[in-house]
Amino acid sequence: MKTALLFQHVGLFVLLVLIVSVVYNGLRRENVAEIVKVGLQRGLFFVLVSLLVFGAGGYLLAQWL
Amino acid sequence: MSDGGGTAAAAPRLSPITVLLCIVATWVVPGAGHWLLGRRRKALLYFGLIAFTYLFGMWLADWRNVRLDQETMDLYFLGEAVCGGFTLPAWFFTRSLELSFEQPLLDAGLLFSTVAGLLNLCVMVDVYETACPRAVPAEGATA
Repeated sequence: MKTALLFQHVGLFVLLVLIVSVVYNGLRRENVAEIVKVGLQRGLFFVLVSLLVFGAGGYLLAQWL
Repeated sequence: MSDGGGTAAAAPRLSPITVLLCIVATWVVPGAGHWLLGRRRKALLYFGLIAFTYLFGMWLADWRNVRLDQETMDLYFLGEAVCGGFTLPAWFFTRSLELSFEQPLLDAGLLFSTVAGLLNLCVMVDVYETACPRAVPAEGATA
């Protein structure tokens, strides 16, 4: 149950970050294919970094505490 | 007007009333301002993403996240209200639904719908930037 909730929230986080990234990277760009490509690339990078920092870092911090 | 591929700098100068109309149109329907400015594909992209985010948020919260009767949701409503064309009907048609704070994804739904509203604010700024492009600084000019 806890694992399912965790994956549900991670999925919502990934979806929200990707949507925000695509819209934000569309500002001052005109080519839609480029907007989607750059937005998804940067969004996925942000997701990976934030999951690493907050996920792994939070896990290690919880072990230490 | 061109469809997506043209540069903003090549666009003809628009009157302030037209620019204001495009921004208001975006407030009512996300992407409508870009559509009126001829950026059809970008308009469809923005409409699809923002409408999906807003409605997905409402679905997550069981259609109970657009409320004016909860003090804790006032700021969220402010964010959602930037999507005026969605928020006003959503508030009107769902205001009689009873709110339960035990709804597990109420916070996530609030977040999605509010983020959709804030993204629409960015899109409104982009409409202004598209309609009134800033002058490109000359080569070698210092900031």
